[in-house]
Amino acid sequence: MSKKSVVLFVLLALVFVSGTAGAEKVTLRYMFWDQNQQEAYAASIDEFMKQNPDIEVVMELAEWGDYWTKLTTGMAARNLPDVFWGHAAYFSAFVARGALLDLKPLIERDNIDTSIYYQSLLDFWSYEGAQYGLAKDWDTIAFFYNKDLFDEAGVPYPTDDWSWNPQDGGEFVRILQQLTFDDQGRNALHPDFDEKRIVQYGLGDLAGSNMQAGWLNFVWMNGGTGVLDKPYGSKLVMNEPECIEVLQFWSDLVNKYHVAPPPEATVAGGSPWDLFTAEKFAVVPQGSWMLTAGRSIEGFSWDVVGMPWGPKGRYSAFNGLAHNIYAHTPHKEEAWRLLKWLEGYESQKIVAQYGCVFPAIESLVDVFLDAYAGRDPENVAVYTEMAENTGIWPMHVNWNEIFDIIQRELDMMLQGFVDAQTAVANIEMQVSHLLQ
Amino acid sequence: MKKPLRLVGEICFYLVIFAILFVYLFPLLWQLSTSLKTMDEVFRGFSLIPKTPLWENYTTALRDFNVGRFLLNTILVAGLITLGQVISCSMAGYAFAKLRFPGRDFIFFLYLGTMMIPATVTLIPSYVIILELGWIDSLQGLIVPFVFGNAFGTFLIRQFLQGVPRDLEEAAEIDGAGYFVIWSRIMIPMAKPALATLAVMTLVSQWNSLVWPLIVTQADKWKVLSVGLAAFRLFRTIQWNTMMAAVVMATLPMIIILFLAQRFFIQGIQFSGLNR
Amino acid sequence: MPPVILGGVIVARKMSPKRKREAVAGYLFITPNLLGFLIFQLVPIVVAILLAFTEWDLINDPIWVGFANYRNLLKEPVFHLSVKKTLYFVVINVPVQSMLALLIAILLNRSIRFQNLIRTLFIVPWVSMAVAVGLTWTWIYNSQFGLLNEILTRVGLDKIPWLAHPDWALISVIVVNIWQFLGFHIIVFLAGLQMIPREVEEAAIVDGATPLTRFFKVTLPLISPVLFYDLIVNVIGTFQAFDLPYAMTGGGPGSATRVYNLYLYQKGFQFLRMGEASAMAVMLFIIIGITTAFFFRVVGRRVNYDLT
Repeated sequence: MSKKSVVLFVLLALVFVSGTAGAEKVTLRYMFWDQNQQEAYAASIDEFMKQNPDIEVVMELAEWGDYWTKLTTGMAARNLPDVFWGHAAYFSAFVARGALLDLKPLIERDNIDTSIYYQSLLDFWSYEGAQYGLAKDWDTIAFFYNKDLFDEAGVPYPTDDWSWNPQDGGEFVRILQQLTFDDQGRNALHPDFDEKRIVQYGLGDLAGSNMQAGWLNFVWMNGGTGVLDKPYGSKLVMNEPECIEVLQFWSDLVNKYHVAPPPEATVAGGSPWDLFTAEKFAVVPQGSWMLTAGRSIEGFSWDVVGMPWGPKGRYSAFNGLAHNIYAHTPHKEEAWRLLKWLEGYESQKIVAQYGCVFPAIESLVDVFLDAYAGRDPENVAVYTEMAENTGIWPMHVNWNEIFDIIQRELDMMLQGFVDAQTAVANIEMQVSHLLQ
Repeated sequence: MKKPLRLVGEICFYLVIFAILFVYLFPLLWQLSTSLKTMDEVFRGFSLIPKTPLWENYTTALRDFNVGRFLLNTILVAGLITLGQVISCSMAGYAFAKLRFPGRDFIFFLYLGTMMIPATVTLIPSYVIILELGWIDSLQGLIVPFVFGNAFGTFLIRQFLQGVPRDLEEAAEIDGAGYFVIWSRIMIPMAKPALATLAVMTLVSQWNSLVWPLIVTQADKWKVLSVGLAAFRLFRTIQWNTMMAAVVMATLPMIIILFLAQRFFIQGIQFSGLNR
Repeated sequence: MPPVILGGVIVARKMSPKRKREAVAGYLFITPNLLGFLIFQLVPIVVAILLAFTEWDLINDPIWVGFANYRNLLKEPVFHLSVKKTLYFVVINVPVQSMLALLIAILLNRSIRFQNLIRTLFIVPWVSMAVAVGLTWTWIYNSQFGLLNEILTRVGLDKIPWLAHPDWALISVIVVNIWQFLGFHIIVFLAGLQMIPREVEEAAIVDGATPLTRFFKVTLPLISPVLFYDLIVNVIGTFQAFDLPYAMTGGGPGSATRVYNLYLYQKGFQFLRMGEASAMAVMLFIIIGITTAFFFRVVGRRVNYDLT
């Protein structure tokens, strides 16, 4: 090497070293799906960045439908965000492929007190002895209803002891029928009711994809097991008579009682939520996570009511989210610091104050409820009651594929093209090879 | 007496043809019409001519639905691939047609052999290559697999250049021209019609291609029109007028190019459809 | 061909300097093209065949599973469905498209004014992006507000849930496919028709043949090679349909329009089963190969090659 080139080399090396040594910030990608929680989490993350000046967090919002496609293709591209929201339904697909970081060693190293969380929430994120998340929040299902539409129709508000059965629909369907109107102002009980010209529906949001806030709860309330015999089970139990009965009832809501619209691939009027806020739907099943969205409702007053009592009582999906860390992130430590913060007491308190989701830390639930003091919905605490009874939530490493089939077939049933028996038979036939 | 009758027959003939064409192209007219309507008119009006054309749909599509970005990416990707293919295929086509080198016919035979293999077969391995190179969500990832040309283009140029008489080259050789000069000064000008055919065929197929961009891009920043538009289906609320405006912007450029280069399109189709 | 290849190798042994220069130039000129061909065509074909013997999710290391992917696919109901849907697509699309195109081509096959304009107008859908065309038709097919159902209602018929109903969806997509590529085939057939020598037709007219017998006895046999080749290209292309179903229905409702390549895409990139997806790709190649061979054996015999 000549003298000149040595000097040049040293110079270059210096430039390189000084370039990297300048306390470069680590940038973490943070992906989430719920726009309603954006504000609360932005506030929490701002606080985190203040306390951790060496970390920059970039928040990426992807809508629910798009979110899982993005994460799956992200997995295929080996390019996942460092920290992202996990959902029990999709968790196993990620775990099975080794895409999530096991937090157990870190939890033990840092002596994290996990007893502050609901145990059942922590259990969602454990798989074969490893722990892939703590707990971000929990949610249950109840019905939102438009009080003004009830008043206009002269129907008393649903009470917490309202009931339902899959044979004739019971009180539940009777109420919905009185809230469904054709363009002549006749309700669904009227003899001349024209089901081709409905302008207002009693019930909305019945898509096959709406398992969590929809049909699965009713299956449980009818004494059915659900979708799979047990978590990570390999047996499809949708062919139980209790389940088929409910699915047929679900289809009847659309095709027989005409109290709910079919889930068209494209609803001209907008999403179920848009239609509820536009007063086209009187009642919609909603998870507690929609409470924040409900706050922006203007022009009518509304409230929530628990699930109607079915033959076997009432049940609700009890679910919780957690933050997951991408197993191959180059910034494990930083991601873990962020996760610790987000699931920790301080951050959950910030988020609870915004009233967007029930905190996973039991002692903070009242902070959340306080956010609703003096505004709609009055009966918000019903969501905590709904946490009492829940059924077996389906989890499976091939859940993406299984659920893709289930929702496609159920949508066809809801359109009235096949009955529940056939839909379930079609599902069974198509998922059999995925369950082994 | 005979002439007027024939005239009537003629007129009828053209009426039939243009009536068929009108029906045939009606979906595209409907697309254009919807793109200029208000949402209200979209749902209520069934007239082909919008009451008052609403050009805002186009600006909305460009701005709010990211179509501007998609359009730019599409132009860049389709344009660069076309340029690369024309250069690369003209070089290879010249070599296969005019130069003698060992293994030439074998390689060419291999090219022809793989033309029958469905593109799907190479999809996953090509994806893995791009993945390993770290080119997901990048311009390289979109362009590199196609920019070097393909068997079809090489075949087309070769067939054309084989018809060029040898004396032209020989004259140039006597003047001391090298192979590069012969290629650039004689072959390229001679092959202009074939190159134009190749260019328009490549441009259209790349502009419209979906599968590859679909799998190698995730970020909106790198999406091309086909991928960006396909995502419209997943929206729960569809603004048909804005969507049709985006759709018009995706189709119109190629239709304009079609009218500017009719002859080459027809030749391209005849070449691929008649295989000669 | 093989003797020619051998010839090339023999010549390579003893080359003059000039021939050597020519050979070097030849290699240089094909280098970019050949590199692209090797890296993105030849190597992937080999890799695909190998991947088909593995189980691979792109994240963990591939596991060699032998023929398990093929066995599993052959047992899998959704795979059977996708094959069925694709065959249906081919069986409807190809003959209808060919007949319509031939009809229009015959209509246009005379010395007419606006020849260029008419031909060009017919290929407008063909140059239009399939995704865009698909979305346009999705709008036309829309159950509630679409143009087609509006027309049906006005003539007093019931609305049809074109893309929403499993019995209608596939045929609705096929119609769009026929529509989009019709122009391409018209141009091909027109070129074929124009290659028929005028004298042959005129001789038939002199013989007093009716237009119909003239078509079956003269025109059809003479363009049969063109028809035949077009048919094969069409079959191969239709087997690979993807863009329209993807943009219009995403394979739904249910699995009604989940054609082969759509399912392959889902297997690979939605469900991360690269091994099975590769096996599907190889099987598609085999299916296409068998179909083509079948065509050559059964139809190819009747094709009249002498008169072209």
